Amino acid sequence: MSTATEASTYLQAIARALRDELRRDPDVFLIGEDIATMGGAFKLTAGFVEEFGRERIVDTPIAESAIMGACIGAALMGKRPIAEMQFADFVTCGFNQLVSNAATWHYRTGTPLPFVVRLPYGGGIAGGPFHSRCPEAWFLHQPGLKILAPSTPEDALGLTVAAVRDDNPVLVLEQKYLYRRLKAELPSSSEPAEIGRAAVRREGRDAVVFTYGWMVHEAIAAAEELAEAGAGEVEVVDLRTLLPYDAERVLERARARRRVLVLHEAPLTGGFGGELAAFVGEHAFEDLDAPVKRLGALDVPTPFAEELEKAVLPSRETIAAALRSLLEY
Amino acid sequence: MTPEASPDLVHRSDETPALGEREHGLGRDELLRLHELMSLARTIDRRMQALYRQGRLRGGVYSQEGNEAVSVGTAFALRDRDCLFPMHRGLGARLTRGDSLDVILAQLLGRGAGPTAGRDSGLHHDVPGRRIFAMISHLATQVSVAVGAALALKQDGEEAVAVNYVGDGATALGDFHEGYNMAAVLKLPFVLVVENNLFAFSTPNSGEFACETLAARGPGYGTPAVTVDGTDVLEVIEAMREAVERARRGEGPTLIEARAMRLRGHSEADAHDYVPEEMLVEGRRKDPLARLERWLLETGQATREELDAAWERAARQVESSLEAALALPAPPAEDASWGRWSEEGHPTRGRGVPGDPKAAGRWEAGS
Repeated sequence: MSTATEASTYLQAIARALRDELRRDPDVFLIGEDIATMGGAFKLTAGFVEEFGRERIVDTPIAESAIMGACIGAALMGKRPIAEMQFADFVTCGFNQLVSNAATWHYRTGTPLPFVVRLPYGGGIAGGPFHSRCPEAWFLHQPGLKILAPSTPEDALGLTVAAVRDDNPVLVLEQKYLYRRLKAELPSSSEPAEIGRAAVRREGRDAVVFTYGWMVHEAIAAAEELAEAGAGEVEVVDLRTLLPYDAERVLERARARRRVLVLHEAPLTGGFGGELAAFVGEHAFEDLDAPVKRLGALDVPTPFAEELEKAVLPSRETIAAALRSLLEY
Repeated sequence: MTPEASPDLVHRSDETPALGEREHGLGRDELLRLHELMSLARTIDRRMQALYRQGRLRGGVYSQEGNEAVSVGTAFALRDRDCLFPMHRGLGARLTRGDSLDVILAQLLGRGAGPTAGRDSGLHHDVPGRRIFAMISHLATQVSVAVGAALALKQDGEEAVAVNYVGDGATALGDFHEGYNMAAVLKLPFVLVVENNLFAFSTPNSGEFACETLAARGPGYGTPAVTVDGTDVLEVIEAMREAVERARRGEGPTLIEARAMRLRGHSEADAHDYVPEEMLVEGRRKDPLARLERWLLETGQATREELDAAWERAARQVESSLEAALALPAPPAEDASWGRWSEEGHPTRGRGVPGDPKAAGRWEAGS
């Protein structure tokens, strides 16, 4: 059992959320590849099968579409399945189940479909083109899904719990570079975080960055660098959940800070940043002192070699440069 | 709206073979019930075909004509707690498991009070109280959905099975393999009924798979599989009983390939002109309803009058339900934006067809 005084990694926070929910609700179960005997590719579910047994920690063949389909069927029977995609990249093999089947279910039938898909995603771990992708844009266009993107251990706990207790298909984007790089003390009880609520992670009067996941931390680092250089005080807003996103707070912070950078790890074109930039531009144009700026990865697959990957993904240097140009506009 | 006379609904011919002889163990009442369900399915089907031609029914109309014995026979072998994942040509299975005629017609006509409140078409609706589940047009996806239900049954130690229906067309997709393989590996209580109606839209079996029969695939998954004549309702029931009992004993899934010619186009918009005439003649010669009637009459289990009375009852039921469904209002346009998520506090809308358990409040806030 975790205690309030023990610091947990982002990964341990997710594991705790899963364990607590498995203990709390007998209808919750885990399903995925290599999650039982092996404890998962990231060892996140190590020890689970010993506590909960094979009926609730279900190892499957490599079959992402069948895993998603099985979650739908079990959810219809009153279960609350939690699927692990070994890497978010492989959710492509289960894509149709999510977008055609799960996303449309409640709208069509009125029957709730509670299940969670955990998606270890993103770059920074030398994963190359097939173990580094950011899948959020594929799913943001699918009414009926929810998409959560915790950036801290506290949110990894709270948002995972919220996902399990939600009555809809919920995708949780777990940034795997953060898995073992962040530590925090967790609250003693596992309470759900509010879905659809952004958080200000750094205050600043001169500009605001809207971002999520790993980039929250890179944006904060860039903002500190600018503050030290006397270039301005930049606010960093962690969206925390992408579908739905906190439209109200986005507009409020955009109007308050008047200069907006939208930032994500995913490629720029067709990314969530375009939607946010359009939303802010549409509703807050007259309150802005500069055009909304976007920064994402270069529009290429995520390359393997460290030098190439660094050149492709946003970094605190490119974020700082984008913020400088925004502040100077 | 005059009901079509019963002889028009069945392809009767002197060449029609009776059913095969077998130990079916069914009483006369059950045999007549089979006939009643199959004739009701055929009656609804023909009525929908007519409405489509009159321009009073929009969208895709997918006839089950020719496959009634598969649909009714397989569902007939199930119990109330078994989970049914029917396909779009699933009228017979739905009726057998108690989906109501009023609900079905309100659904097909896209009425606001129907079970999908006008949001989805065809027989895509669920009937939660009866463990009849909804479906999507990508049929092969439903294999693993049903397998998920079977997993839940196993987790709960329920002595029930999940049954999914697909056509021959779905067997060429990856989802068919993933789902059925997972059921076999996890030894789940699952039966996969492949209604092989010989065509996937216009593509004949020879363009769909290269094995002799679809049942030939069963051993590749380590499971039994059987090909049955899907125009012989008693042969269907026998195979289904065996598969279901095996699943209940915890011995894993079975694949049943039931072959029965699709006597209409893929949809009513399809002229069906790619089908060689001799195949159609042969398909009609083996109309499952004609076969059942001939057998019932020849074995003295029913009289012509009794069978005609069943057709008349079906016609009356369909006309009365249809009249009610046609009188239901369309869904209000302001409903279109609501309900993408299940959320607390969303309004209750669009329920009220008698026989629909959701009418009792499944769509209510927070439920």
